[in-house]
Amino acid sequence: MDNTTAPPNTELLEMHLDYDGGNTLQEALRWSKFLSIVGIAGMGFLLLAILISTPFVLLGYGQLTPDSEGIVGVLLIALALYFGALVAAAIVLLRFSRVTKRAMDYQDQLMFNNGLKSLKVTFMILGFTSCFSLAALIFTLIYQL
Amino acid sequence: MDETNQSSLFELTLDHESIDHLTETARWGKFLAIVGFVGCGIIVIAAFFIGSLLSASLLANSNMPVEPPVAKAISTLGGVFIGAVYFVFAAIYFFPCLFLYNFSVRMKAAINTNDQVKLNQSLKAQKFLFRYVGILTLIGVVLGVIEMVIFGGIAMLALLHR
Repeated sequence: MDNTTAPPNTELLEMHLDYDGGNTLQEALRWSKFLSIVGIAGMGFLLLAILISTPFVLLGYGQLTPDSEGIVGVLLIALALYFGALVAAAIVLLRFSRVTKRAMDYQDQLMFNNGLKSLKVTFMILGFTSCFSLAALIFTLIYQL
Repeated sequence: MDETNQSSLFELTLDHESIDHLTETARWGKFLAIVGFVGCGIIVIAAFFIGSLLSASLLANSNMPVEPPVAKAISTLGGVFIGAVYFVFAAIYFFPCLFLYNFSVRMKAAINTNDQVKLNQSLKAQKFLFRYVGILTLIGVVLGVIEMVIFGGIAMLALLHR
């Protein structure tokens, strides 16, 4: 309906990526690329460490206190899921920086929209994981006090 | 050369799809920033509690071969140090939350009022956010490498002297 009555972008034509905004975004993309690569490497390493150590930790706890084996297992799975989500966020952030950079180089609107979509997904994943982090922080502080 | 760049960047506009993505990004960004501020507040509160609790605990469990006033001073200093460490962490954690909040609020305002200046300000806040976190990450990586080298060296020396 909208497409037939008015061409797209008509009402939003005032906003665009100008020289200043483009330069700013390009630097942001450079840093986000660096962050995503370090994030993939760091979080991936931690995820791998958790996955490799899980059977040994469960075996150790199973021998020491058989009752705690289930809780430790659940905690390790939660931790693996948490780091898995962070790896996914880093991969999507890398996609944001690569696709948006390419969109700016080739002046491709479709690619630019895809890049912004990746940023949105990154923020969504980080939003969900931050809830988990906050809960863990509160639990740790209560436990410490 | 500059003019070519300026004109070529005008081709990328914020159409309905990109506006939708940016609106949602701003919403999640604001949520993340608020969660971050809450986290900062919790760390600051914890700094007071853990600092004073640690001082009391150190004093109660200390078998220091010094006079009681000196032992009390050492315990207090220990608590103050841990409290200060928590404060520093809260301060470091505060700034990316602030940049993220600025990005989200300005982006939302830019979309609502169709304001190019606010859009650029929002992108600038996003740049500061990524730059700040990037520099912190870089410092963390460098410190990690230095730590690995030092501990690796100590372990090697210990093995050689066996």
